[in-house]
Amino acid sequence: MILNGYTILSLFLCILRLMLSVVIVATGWSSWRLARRISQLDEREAVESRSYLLFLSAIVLMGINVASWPVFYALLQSYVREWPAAMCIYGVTQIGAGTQGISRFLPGLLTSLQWTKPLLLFLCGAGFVLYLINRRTRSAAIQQRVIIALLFIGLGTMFDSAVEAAYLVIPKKEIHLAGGCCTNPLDEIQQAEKFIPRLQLDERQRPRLAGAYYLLNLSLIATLFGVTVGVSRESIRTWRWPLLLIASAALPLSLWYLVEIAAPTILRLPFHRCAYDLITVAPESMLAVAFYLLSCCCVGWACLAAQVGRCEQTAPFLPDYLRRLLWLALFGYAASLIIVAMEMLLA
Amino acid sequence: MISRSWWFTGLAGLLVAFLIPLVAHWIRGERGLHCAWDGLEIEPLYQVDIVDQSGSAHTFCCLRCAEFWLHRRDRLPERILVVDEASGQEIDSADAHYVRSTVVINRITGERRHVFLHADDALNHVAAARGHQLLGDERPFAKITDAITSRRRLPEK
Repeated sequence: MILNGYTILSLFLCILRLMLSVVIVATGWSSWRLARRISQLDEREAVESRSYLLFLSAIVLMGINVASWPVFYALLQSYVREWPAAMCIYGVTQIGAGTQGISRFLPGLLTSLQWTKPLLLFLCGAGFVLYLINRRTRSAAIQQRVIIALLFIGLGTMFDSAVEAAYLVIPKKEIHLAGGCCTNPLDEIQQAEKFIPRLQLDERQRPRLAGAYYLLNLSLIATLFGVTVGVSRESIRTWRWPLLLIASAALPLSLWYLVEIAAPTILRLPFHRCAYDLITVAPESMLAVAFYLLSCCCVGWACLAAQVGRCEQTAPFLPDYLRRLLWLALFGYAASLIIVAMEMLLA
Repeated sequence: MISRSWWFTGLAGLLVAFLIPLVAHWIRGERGLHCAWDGLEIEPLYQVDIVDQSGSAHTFCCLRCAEFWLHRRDRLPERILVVDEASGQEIDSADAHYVRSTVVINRITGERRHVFLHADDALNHVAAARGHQLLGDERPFAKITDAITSRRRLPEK
């Protein structure tokens, strides 16, 4: 275990999140069961009084979940100094790879954390959007669905905080199989090599990837503009599937472009594919990543709200909610594209 | 519908997004000398310079990074310059004596090869740091240096 300020902060956040998620899952489960029962008995006040604690705890948990994401990358950045062979966060992600002992689980834990954190952010946002929609209804019409979303957030947080705590606690010590004196120099070279990321894209494929990135994202921006400006209140809901499809296709492509083309160009290291280095070398480019992820989430939240938040009481105001979410996504995508294009021009 | 004030706010946000990279580049200024392969800060004593055929120089933090970079290139470079560890003087890679020893010069790349202009300095390092001198094809850039030398001889003939 590498003990520094960020480790202590991350552990504290893990314990806090774990405790809150247990409260939310327990309260959410009993509220959901009660809500199902009283829908027949018409005793709504009992559920409402119980849901105050649930919603308050969930909002606090959402805030801590959002804060834990940058703290997690700050923690990884702090480990770079502690591990002599690592030159950036990529090197830290490789600690324990190909070794024996408990440290062999470290890369897998880190990979799963890098997926669960954005997924949790999406879930928290989705829960919050549904909560806001529910608040505007006269009789908490979609409360059961909000409680189900909060249960998912609680369970997701439990998993994420448990994995993160395991990653923090496991000793960062590499144990290799014993070899003869002749294998040691070779091992050293291989060990050094594994901490440095390499380009995987052929030189001829790079313009194609860049073209696809700009084309897909510009078409996504144009579609979002068309939907927010030109589509009527009644038909805005029908656009959720095409938008989700384009946004889902653009997300992996944009991540690939970031790693293979944008990061090496902005870092001025043509053979070094490592987006993590941008955090320290060009921190403003992280804004482009944040805007992009926020926009993806906005499209997802809009689709989810259109699907799950629809009922008789939400029908009058739901299209305005969707339009505002798509407006946020539109400007987020545009801002991200502008920042990336400017960074590429200035590099 | 989205009100006009929302659109103005959005456009102002885009203007800020346009200005952020400009301001950040202005604040950062020019970066110091970093390795062209992995971006590490360069220690002058272990620096390697490769001049390509267009005349532009590429600087590396160690022999390993320079080898990786050359491996990616199709064309032969014009010159490869290394630094004599004894004097700190830049010399042609063909004139250098190389030693692999137990002393690691770069903990990230794991480089353990050392460069000397004089054979005596190389042998002293061999004895002091349990190393061995690299000869023939073991020498860094051996084939490339030979190709550069033979290319230089061609016009003389």
